[in-house]
Amino acid sequence: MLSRKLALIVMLGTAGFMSSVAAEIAVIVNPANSAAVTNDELTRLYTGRSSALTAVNLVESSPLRSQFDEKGVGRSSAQLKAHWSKLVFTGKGTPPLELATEAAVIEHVAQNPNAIGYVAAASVTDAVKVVLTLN
Amino acid sequence: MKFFIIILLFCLPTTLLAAEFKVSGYGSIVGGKVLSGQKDPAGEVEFQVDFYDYAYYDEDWAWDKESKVALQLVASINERLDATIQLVAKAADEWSPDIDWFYLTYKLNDASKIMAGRRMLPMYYFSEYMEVGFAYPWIRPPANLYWWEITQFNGLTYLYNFELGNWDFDFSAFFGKETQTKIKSHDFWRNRGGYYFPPEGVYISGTADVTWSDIMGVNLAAANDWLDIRASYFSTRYTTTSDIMFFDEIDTNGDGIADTVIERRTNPDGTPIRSGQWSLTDFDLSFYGLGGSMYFTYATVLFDYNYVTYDDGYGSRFPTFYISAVYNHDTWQPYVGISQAKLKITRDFDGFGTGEAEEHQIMTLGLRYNVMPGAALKFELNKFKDKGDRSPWYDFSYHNDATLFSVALDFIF
Repeated sequence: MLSRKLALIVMLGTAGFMSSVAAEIAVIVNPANSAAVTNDELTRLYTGRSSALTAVNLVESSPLRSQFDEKGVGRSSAQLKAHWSKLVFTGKGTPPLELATEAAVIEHVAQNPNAIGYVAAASVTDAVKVVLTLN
Repeated sequence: MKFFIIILLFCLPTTLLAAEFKVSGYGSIVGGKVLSGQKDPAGEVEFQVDFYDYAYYDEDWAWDKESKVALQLVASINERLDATIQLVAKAADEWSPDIDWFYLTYKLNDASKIMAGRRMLPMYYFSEYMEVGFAYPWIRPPANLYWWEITQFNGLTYLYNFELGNWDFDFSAFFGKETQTKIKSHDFWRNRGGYYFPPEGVYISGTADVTWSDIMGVNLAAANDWLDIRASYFSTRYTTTSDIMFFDEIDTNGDGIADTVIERRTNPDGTPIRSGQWSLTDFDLSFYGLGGSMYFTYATVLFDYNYVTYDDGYGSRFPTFYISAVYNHDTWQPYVGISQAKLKITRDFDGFGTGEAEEHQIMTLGLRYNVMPGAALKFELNKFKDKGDRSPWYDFSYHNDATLFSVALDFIF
């Protein structure tokens, strides 16, 4: 972990320009789901390491998607895309289902007890339960 | 195996009426040119990039060495059973499509499954997806490591995954067999003397047939939120036979220069002269590997260390490593890398001696530009250096030094 911090310090100076204005993201599950979801578990679900819940994604063109990739999964969208291509073409995984709108994500999660998704915190409705908020 | 595929192909149309299909694919358009370098013994300035399909670049731009396109079809036959087929068309094979993969995946339970059929052999860290350029940062995995004639196999793989604390583990065990016929790479050795040290004037030439039988191995991969690491082991029987070409060099005036060269590729009855009785290779090969990726906030470090042993007369050992760092900007990903491969002779065969018979290095500098979500443009410089102390094995495996510039467009769909 020491080297990890070191890399962070070294790179921090050059990366200032990368930050952008961001919305708060709510990670949502079905109200019937009582599982607690940690940041670590979220990374597992969205990188194909765990299939405890069925993850759904927003499409790549959604601005929230890249923010979620960074904050929720801890990888850039490009890295995740490359990661999933490796799993798909070695027969070791299938990427999360992609939905076009936040409303579609809410509807999907509301109807599937095992689903997990994310939307902007401001878009959350009573049909789903927030398990994690990403700033 | 062919029988197995034919039966399945006949069964598929009826089975698939009810099945769910997923179609995806990947491809690469790659061009390259050697910028500078030394001449090899044949007088060419070459840079080898793929021994398996024998792709190399020279001083002219070429786009037909590594370009390829692949189509993957996954059919879910039922909840437990999937059939996967991958058709790959490579420029190096005149774009003639080949079934690279064909396997069935049977889900035993949530944690384990069995894959039966033709798949990539899980050797190096990147072996299983080395053809999917989009999946890794560079244009190609280091050519001095990924040089085997065999990259796929027909057989069975058992996969089991489990969690332990913050770690996710993937265990796999596999066995099978593979034969590749008419491998072009062996043509490389034509006229180079060395290799199997035939008598003067006799050369090994043309294509070779290689069989890896009794492939048996295990893999263990472990991943947490910043580290992905994989240990691999397998062993196999490595058998090679090849067509042989003889050059009878006739020096009529005794000045040491051949005045007439007669080439013979066939026996008097017209059949090719085979090396079968010579056993070009016929020994056990063992492979040990440890590779991984470390994800830091702004950089990823990828590494691979491997050790191959031959149970041959020379006690050949191939220690190889690779390390690369990639800066993780979402759009621009510059990278550097170094790979090194050695051949150590550890057993004195017939006074041949022991020591390092081969050592070469590739330094890599490149840039990946993520043009759009499913496509990446890459620019790469590779500097190949033969560092071998070839005395007393001068021509054992000489590769000329060369600098290669290549461009690639890798895509998935």
